[in-house]
Amino acid sequence: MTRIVVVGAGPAGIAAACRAAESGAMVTLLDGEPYPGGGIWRHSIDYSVPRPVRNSKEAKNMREKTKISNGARKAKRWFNRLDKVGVSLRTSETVVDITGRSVQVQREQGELDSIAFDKLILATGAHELFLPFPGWTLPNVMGVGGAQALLKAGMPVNPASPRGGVKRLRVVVGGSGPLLFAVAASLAKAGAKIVCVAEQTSGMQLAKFALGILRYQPAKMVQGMGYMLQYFPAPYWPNTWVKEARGDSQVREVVLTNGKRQWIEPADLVACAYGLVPSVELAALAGCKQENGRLVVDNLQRTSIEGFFAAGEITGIGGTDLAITEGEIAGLAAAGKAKETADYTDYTEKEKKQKLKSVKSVVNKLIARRERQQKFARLLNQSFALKPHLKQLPADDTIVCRCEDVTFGELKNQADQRSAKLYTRCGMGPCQGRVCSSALQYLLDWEPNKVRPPLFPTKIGAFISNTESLKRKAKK
Amino acid sequence: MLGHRVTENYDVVIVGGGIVGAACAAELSGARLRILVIDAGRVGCGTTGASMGHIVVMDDSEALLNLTAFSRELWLRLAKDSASACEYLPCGTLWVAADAEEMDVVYQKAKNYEEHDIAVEVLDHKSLYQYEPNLAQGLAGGLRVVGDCVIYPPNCAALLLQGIEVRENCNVCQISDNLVSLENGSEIRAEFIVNAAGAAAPKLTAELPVEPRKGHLVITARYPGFCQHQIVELGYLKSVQKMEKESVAFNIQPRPSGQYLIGSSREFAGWDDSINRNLVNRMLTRACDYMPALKEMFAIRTWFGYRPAPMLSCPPPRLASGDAGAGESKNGGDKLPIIGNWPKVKGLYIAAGHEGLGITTSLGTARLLAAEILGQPPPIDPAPYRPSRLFRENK
Amino acid sequence: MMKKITVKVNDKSVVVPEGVTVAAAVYMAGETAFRKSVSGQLRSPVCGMGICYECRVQIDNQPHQLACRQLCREGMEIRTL
Repeated sequence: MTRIVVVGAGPAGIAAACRAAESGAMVTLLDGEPYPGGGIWRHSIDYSVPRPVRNSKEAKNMREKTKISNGARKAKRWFNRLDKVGVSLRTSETVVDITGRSVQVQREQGELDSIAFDKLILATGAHELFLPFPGWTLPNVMGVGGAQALLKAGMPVNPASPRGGVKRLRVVVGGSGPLLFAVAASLAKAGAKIVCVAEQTSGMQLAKFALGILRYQPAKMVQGMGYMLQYFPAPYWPNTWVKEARGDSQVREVVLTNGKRQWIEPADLVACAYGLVPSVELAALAGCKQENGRLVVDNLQRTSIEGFFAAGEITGIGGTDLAITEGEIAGLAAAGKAKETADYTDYTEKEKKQKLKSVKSVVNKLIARRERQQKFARLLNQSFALKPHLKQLPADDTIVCRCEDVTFGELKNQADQRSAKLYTRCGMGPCQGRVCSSALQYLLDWEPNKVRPPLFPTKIGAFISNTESLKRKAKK
Repeated sequence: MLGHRVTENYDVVIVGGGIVGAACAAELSGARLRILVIDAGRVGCGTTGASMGHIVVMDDSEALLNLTAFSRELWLRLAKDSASACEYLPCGTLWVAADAEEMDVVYQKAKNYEEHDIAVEVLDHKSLYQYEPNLAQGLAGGLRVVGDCVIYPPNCAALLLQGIEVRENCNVCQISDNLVSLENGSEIRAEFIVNAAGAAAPKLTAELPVEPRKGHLVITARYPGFCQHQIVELGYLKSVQKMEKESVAFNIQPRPSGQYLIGSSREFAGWDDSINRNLVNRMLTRACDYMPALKEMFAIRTWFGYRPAPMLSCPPPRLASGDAGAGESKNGGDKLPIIGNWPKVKGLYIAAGHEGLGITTSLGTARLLAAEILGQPPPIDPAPYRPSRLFRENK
Repeated sequence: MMKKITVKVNDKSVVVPEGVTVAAAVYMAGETAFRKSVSGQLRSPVCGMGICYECRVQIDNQPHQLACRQLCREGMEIRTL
């Protein structure tokens, strides 16, 4: 039986795991979070979806009691499908290293375990692009997806006020991308007062995007209108961005600008991020080929390394639906169910289209669907392309590396990421440059540093016990 | 003129902007010479950037003791003027003796050091734990070398290179008589050329017996106050001297940030650029044998560098400890760096083969080399380090 | 009805629904700052997904624990800053 390890239990990973397991493979699905779902299908305490479980039977019992709100029927369908197929779901297990054909995972308590595989599916998703601006390090300034995640985890946005009653937090949502919309809606629904949504892209681009949605994904338009109604009557300002956050022990107000004038809005919480960047660290450590920060994959989601597949946002930001389709293709291909039928790498575009039409296999259908969804992804990326003005966001005393408190002024005269690291400590902290190096790639066009193990801070004792247990295994 | 070939002129061209090259440049900069430092990457970002920055007096041989002690004196002087730029930490070295046998080595070493006016303190079982309570139980004692210290090598390299012309991301492809040829086709004429290219030095001076000896380091998250000294097991000396393919020894260094650097490994693996997980695990296991509480700490990063290991085939000299060494071994040699004029190429000087002591001995190396280039009296006896010793047995 | 558990945030008892993260418990205790940066600034979570390391707190005397990634357990002692 083919042993397949899927890293990342978001939409792409779940779809891949399901397809692979349904095709008869022995599948292990790993995620560092306590619950599966990834950023987008994240478990919420109000609609407690999946809990950390070790086997599918337990998962099934657990899942039967749960319901998913928010019209996330698709998520529910996939979670149910995941239960049925008997995937070994391992949550709170973070992949910290990869060697040959095994990944090393760290459990919450800090132990390491090696998991061997024949095929690997990388579905590590994306993280937000945080661009540093004055005051962005103040407490309660966070990402957009970050705010969503914390909200779902139980962060109150209408906490009890000391004088009785509740205090509705005033929230400014800023940055770029369709997520701003969705997150503003969930914050409003949870009881926050949305002050405004500041979207850096222009009204023209937004209009184009809206038309595109109507054309490619009309259902999304309906969803969008729903969001709109939920946090109505908060203003949605295109061509506007957060220039500065001000406060003391936490943020109190923000300075917004549209490039011509600036004004102040009150804020107890700021959710601000400029879209997503693929989380390619594991793939980079494994040695998979990248291009422009994305993983290079072929028609069957195969990476440059034999037996390694990739699906979802790490192959380029494209949204949930595309991620699912890519995951399905990767799962089928990794399980050996897509062998020759859809491998048209050497074909011309025309031949490929003909083939896709004539050979009616599941994979071909999925490939055709993926091509449609990629159009939407391109529209998404064009519509929310970042304004050059944003490169001016950080002042000289704005901290860029939050782990080591390195300012933009210290960094801007460094030659590259490597010398910046050695001479200013930028990127030397525990986040290992995930936050600052994405920002610096945008701000100063710096190539990120080489990825080294461990991918996340790992207990020293874990390395040792893992070595010992491996030795014991070898003896047996 | 041929094609795009450009010829420039300098008095001194130093190939390699690591700590050794930087120190040589700084030492020569007072002499009204036009100096250029060339680095294949960024200055201070090669082995220098990967190293620990432990300034330590070593007593393996009389010559090594002289060079390290002289160099440490220079470091203390530099650190006095620019302590914060160097990230100077006067933590001393604590050599740990595991058992009675190693305690004998401690007494022998104490005698060696004292004979050379190096201040040391012999620690018995009790005083060892007074200094470092987080050491594992059951160790015999140790030797505290008070004046040893820790600096941050990349910053020191940058400091030494202040005001000196530097060319980065520039590849040298050949050094010949008074001529440095660059990969881009241009050439630089120089009266003096210094090959300070670290483990890459033999790529430019073929007969140099230097090989990369890879070493890994692990850094922890911040746990202020866990240990006070650079702590090294006495077995470290064996790890250095034995020319095994792979070896590890316990070595931990407190950083001013409250983080700890954990070493050490030695490995002959050429220019292999992957992390040797097994070796790192062995290294960490060794560290936890000596400091079990490390197990609960987070390691945040692992990296490696290539020590320029001298692979001399000349007979090893008498060791200061009285041990005559293991006779002539092909790889052993005298384990000393190669410093001075290279007789086979006109104008060429070598500053290479420092292995794991490049940071410590860089300043002493630079003094010796500058004295030779400028025709000044040497600060210490230069004979043991001279390249000419490599050719002696060919007679 | 969701099961409740009790944790301590900076010695203050907080009752939270089972299944919430340590980060949520810190917010529920009325704290907004999770840690002090290396230069002494107050910080709180940014990414909510285990990559920014701004949510580091001390849990049961263990430093550098990610509040966003761990679920509350009965009797857990959480310390910020």
